[in-house]
Amino acid sequence: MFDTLIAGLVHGNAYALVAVGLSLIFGVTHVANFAHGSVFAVGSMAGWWFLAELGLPLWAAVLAVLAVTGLLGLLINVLAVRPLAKSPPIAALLATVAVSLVIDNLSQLVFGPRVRPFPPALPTNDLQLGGLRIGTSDVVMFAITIAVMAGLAAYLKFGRSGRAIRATAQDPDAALQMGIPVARIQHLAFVIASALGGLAGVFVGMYTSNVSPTSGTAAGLTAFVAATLGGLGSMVGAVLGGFLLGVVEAFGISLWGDGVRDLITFGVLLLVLIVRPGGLLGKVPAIANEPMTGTFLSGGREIRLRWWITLPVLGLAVALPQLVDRYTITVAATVAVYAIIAASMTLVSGSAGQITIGQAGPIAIGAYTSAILTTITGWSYWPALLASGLLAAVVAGALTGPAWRLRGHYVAIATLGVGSVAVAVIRNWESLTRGAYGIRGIPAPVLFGEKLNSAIEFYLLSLALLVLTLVVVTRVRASHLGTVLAAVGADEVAARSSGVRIRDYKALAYAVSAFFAGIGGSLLAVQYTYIEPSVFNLPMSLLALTIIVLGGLYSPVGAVLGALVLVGVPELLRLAPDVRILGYGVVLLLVIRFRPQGLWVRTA
Amino acid sequence: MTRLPRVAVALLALTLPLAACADRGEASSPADADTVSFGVSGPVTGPNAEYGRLWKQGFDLALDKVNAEGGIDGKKVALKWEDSQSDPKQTVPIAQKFVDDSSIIAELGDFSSPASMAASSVYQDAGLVQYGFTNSHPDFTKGGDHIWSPSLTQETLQSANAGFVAKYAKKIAVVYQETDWGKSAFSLFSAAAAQQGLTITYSSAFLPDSTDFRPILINARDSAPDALVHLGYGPDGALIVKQLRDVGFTGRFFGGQNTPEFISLAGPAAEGDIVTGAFLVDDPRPEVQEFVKAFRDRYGEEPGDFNVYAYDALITLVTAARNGGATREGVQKGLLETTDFPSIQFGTLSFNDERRPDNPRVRELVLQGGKFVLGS
Repeated sequence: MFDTLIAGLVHGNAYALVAVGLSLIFGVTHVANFAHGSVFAVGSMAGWWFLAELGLPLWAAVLAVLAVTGLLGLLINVLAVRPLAKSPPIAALLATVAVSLVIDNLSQLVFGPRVRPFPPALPTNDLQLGGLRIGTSDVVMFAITIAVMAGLAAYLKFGRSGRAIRATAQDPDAALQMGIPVARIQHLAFVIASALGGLAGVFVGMYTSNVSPTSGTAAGLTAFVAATLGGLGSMVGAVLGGFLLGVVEAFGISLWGDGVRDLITFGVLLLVLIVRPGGLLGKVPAIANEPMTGTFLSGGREIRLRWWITLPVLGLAVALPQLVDRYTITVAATVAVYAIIAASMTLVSGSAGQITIGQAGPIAIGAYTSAILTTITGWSYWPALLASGLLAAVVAGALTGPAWRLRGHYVAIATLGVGSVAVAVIRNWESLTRGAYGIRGIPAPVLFGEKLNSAIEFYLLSLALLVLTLVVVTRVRASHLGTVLAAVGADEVAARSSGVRIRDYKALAYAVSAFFAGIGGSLLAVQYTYIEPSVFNLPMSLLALTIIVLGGLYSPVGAVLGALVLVGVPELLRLAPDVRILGYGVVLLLVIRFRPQGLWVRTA
Repeated sequence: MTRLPRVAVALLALTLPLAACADRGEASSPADADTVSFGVSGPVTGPNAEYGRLWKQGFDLALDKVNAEGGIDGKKVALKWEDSQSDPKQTVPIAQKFVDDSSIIAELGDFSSPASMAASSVYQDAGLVQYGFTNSHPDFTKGGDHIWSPSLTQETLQSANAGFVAKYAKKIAVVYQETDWGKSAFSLFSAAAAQQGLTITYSSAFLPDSTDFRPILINARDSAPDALVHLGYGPDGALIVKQLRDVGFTGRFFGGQNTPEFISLAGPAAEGDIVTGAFLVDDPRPEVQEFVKAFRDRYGEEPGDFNVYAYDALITLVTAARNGGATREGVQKGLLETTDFPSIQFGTLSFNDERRPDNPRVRELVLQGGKFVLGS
């Protein structure tokens, strides 16, 4: 027991140190910085390089890492975040996702993909505590965490520029009018937070001892959960959240094994958000900030599609198999599936203004429903397809229910939690889903006695369902329901004043999008013929979200365009395999930078 | 300004990627009459990129050897790489691309079983051999008669493993990866362990991306076993053996991976570690020494299992093509009929009815003084 507690505290300390930086950036700029984990990983790798390869002493290596990551933070803000200050917050969030792709892949090119042993610059196992050996490094890390937390909290409370930071966080426009150099303050916050991320990289690197350029994503995500638990924007909260998560995980894992870690991490997140919607120490704002998808008036309007454009494009899509090779058709089929998933998301994220980062959850539910019904119960594909959509809508809808009382970023984070929990349950419910073994031999659909198992047939099936999805989504948007949803998204307070039950409508919009996500998942299961839980990961959810942001949040047609670009570009970039994902990140960043309102949108 | 130009631009944007795809498809298909190609679908970027790097080292060495010998029937051998990131979303289009490229006579990869198995049906339907040389998933070769793997099934490996463990311990704790690979390894290992009279005092799965194993290792320690068995990969094995020492367990460790990466990550904590394996740097067989020397000369590193897997895989397919003919049917025919493939891992290799190695030799390797040597 005691040993487990100590192990949890030591691990929680690592979470806390990363979470502080995240929380600082969020507090100042209201940006959920998905690149923070990557900065952390750069800190680890640079620390390894300075210590192991250059043989610098620890103090010099730490200073060098602080300089490198601080500069990196400045670059992130100058190049990616700051230019989007006037755009919807979601644009900045996605810009940081793109930045993290760029950083991870650059770091992999510079340092190589190998996992490296981080040199123990301080003794890592020289102290005995109960039955556990810990190191001077752990004690130093703890001291740093506490010092950083206390120092930052005091600085923000009493320091001159610290107060300016808080003022900027509360209301950038008012701060600007009071003569606070808002841009400089935000640069400062990014430099401090990123340097802290680098520092965490060194000490967490020493603690885990394995470091690699791609270790940042997981670390960033858990730190994000920790920061949310504590209340985004609160330094003390971030540290508290880190330790809490570390200890709860340690005891949960001790009881049920490490296979359920995801379930514990995200389960705790959801529970805390249900009980305290603003995190443990965070305050729920009395009046919501402007919605994540934009100010009360959206940045643009969807371009209307005329029939004399629609028909030729549709004709081209149907005739595509005659024009191009089968490889292209396979890519096009994947594009169609992601377009189905994304187009329906425009209802919840566009119309109702609620960002979801957990669409992999309903996709997984749909995929598994089809897989189980067709392989084990022997259903034919078509009723299974329908069941996939329905079950995804019901289960994901029910799980997400409590999220709709949350505000702003917390909604997005809660859906991320729901997606992760759904996949974790699938992984652990082995008697039904075969867990990590996956389900093999998912049969091709049979239509009029004909097996649809070629690339072309599968493409045409996906295309047909895509057209159906677009028709349904467009009809919904044009209906009375669509108007109500748009009202909820445009101004919650006004909508509620007019007697609209906003939570119910958000839930309804989400259920519709989950239905189509389930349909998409069912198609993926058929295309892959083999599925297992790790297919339905965070990058899948982020891809779905990125597609609609790129296409224009309000536009189902834009979602098709977005899917074409985001699924197609990585395939196009195959010409240059080493820098393929790097190039993808750069393209994504440029598109967000210059068209933050989306591709298929006319600026108002 | 009318709306037309904007729409035209958007339409152009819509068709551009497709057009470019189409162009490239045509450019890659005309077969050079003097070259035969093998397609490689593997992780060049992403979290598994290290394995892609190790593959490439092994492949390139094999390629030089094969081409120096005159290729296949006088034709030069080449590889066509596609980066899949070991992601099933990408392996399916890659499979389609390889299938449509008539210069490719067989495919190598992918790295993880899920990524490979997502693409199996495409290869099987087209009659192109998919040689998943790291895919130990028990169902992988059940994907069809063109799906082959030289990877030992977990059944073979884990019964050998349990035999080695039983020589040193009576009571053991087991930790295994929560993946298809780790779970089948664990279920087969526990069955074999029961036969050997071993008692499992504690077991837990762990997620592949976990970094802190102390909570489960404390439980393992408290169940008082003689040894701890780890069923997983190199990086997680290194973390586990180090943290195992931190929680104060001094018994023997079985696990990790026969790779230079594992040895350097784990350091002295793993001294005495025992793994099941086939490849040894010090193996006196001349073909092994020739390989090890060539590898050291070219890369200045020590070769490990994944280099050998890749090297052997290409040699096997080339041998099959030499025996059966430099065509897709020829490779399949060669794989079916050849009974003595040269192999660094196994000495010689032939395949059984399940398209897996027939009667493979598994050896006990012990980590001593920073390198794996043959156990007693």
